[in-house]
Amino acid sequence: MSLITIQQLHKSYRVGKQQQAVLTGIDLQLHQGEMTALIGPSGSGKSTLLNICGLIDQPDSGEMWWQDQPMDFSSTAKLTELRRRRIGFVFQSFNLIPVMSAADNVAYPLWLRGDSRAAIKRAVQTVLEEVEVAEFADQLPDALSGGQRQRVAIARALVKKPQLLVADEPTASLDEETALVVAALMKKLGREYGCALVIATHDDRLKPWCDCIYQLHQGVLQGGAA
Amino acid sequence: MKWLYLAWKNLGRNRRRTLATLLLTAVAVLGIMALSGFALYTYESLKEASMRKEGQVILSHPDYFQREENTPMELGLGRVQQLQQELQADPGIDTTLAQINFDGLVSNGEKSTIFMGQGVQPESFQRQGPGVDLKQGRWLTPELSSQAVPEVLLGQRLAASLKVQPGDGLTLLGTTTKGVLNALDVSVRGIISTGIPELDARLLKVHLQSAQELLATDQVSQLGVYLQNPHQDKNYDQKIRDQYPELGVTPWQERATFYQSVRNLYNRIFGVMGVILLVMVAFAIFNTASMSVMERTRELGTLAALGTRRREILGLFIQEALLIGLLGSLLGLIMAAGLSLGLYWVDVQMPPPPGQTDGYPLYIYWSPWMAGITSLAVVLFAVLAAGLATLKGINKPIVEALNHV
Repeated sequence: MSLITIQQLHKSYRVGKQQQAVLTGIDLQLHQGEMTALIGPSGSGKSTLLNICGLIDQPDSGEMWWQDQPMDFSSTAKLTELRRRRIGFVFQSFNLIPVMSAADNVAYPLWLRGDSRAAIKRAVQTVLEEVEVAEFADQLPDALSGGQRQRVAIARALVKKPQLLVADEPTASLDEETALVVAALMKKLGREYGCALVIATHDDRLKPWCDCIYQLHQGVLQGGAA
Repeated sequence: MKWLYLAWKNLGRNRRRTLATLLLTAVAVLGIMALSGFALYTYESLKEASMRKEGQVILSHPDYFQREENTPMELGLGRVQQLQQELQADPGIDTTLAQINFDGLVSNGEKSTIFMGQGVQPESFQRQGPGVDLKQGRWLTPELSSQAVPEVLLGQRLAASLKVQPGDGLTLLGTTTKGVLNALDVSVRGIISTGIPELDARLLKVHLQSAQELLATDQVSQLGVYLQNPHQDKNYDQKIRDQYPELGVTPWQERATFYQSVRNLYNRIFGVMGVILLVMVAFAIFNTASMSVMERTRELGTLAALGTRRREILGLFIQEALLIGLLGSLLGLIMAAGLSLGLYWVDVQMPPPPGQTDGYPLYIYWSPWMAGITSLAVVLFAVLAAGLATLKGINKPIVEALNHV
């Protein structure tokens, strides 16, 4: 059974006085344990589709199901709760909170969820070890390298064991070697944590790690299993 | 607690801006505390002077303070000695002092001028404290000898007008209760000043018995009751009113028109200035919060994407403002306490108020009650300002916030 099912999804933006279609009739399924890549040039709509999957943007029309439940994009509170509990995000520029240490950044989603202090400490330690930055737990993000920051961001996304991990250009700010390590890590942990992983990228280096690759071109989705 | 911790961390992002906002808040609190402290000191001084001037409760003829007398002592108070004995038997009452208010002419043989007389019991000079200043000579003797020439104290300008010194003789001319002119030879015992030139040009104080002799009466105008605990016994006037329903019983507040007027005036002036200072704090914090929201727009998008509720983000910014408000208030209160203490050590004199000749020392009261009210108002204004500044930021769509540059 798929985690997310999208059917005939449309999205457009107003540019000046004109309405510009970004996504037209998108059909997509995301499965738990699978890594799905959305590939396409800048402006192709991959980030928009990713944002809709991550429930931070909403479509103009079309249907979306979370497991077998239809999504109601009008309920901000429900969307927030789903993001809080079931979705992890990895951003291109890491988006760590600069005043919090690496450990506190990772702890934040559990903080929000209201976990106990002991449980948070355990979970943070485990996930930081898994992404191999445990020794930097007390460092502020500014003191870390790009690769280390992205590992902390992955740890923050995975610490709550999300059902869906959304990553927008996760390797774009990294050098080749680090990018491959981060991709492998995401693939490995995504499988271990059993979450559906969807990545928007134009980085061909990620293709070998993906189970499904979709090409977005002028708002139309093409492709499927790799 | 976790939000407060994060708010505390966020204050360190732009330390210079936080410090500037904190200092502005502290200076505003200092300003409010200094203004209110000065007003409270003035109120307390005037209240004390008003309570001492005529007594905390004043007994008189029921109409004495309501209408003008047609003849002297028409609205006088009789059986004074009996009243004084009865009242002084009350353990809550410290003492009673009788007074006659009258007017007439005073002459040095060459020149005559109008005076405004007070027949007093000499103990009143101790009771009234620093309200009247002895410039030359001595106070009236406690006991008046039947053989001696009656003595008077003259206002400074009245003495200057009559060109007399202590020891010189004068003649008082007054009207008796039956409308007959009467004269009394007196000797100048001392020259006094109230600090109000207009009053000093007319004021004459004489022994109560001498005034009664001039007016040919055994009555008095008013009887001042001085309480053992004037600040605690708030409703003693009612007790005395119940005891003497046939008399006019007036609490000091009703006679203290100057005190009430100053209080009303200062409350308005300093109230408006206080509100202006609070608005300045609100603007400063609004500015700080607005800049902070703008700089952290992308972070707000991240927090929202991670599932942070809008009210939690709003709460975070409000707690940052709360911390600035609390810390600024604390700093301002400490500065105000320092200023208040400093003024006790360093003698700073205020210039004489309009219509007066003497200045007075500047003191600022540090009132815990005022400190609480000021801190509460500052925190409230800070929270409201931060809330308003943040609302726009948190209502931005998440994607737009994440793409903010």
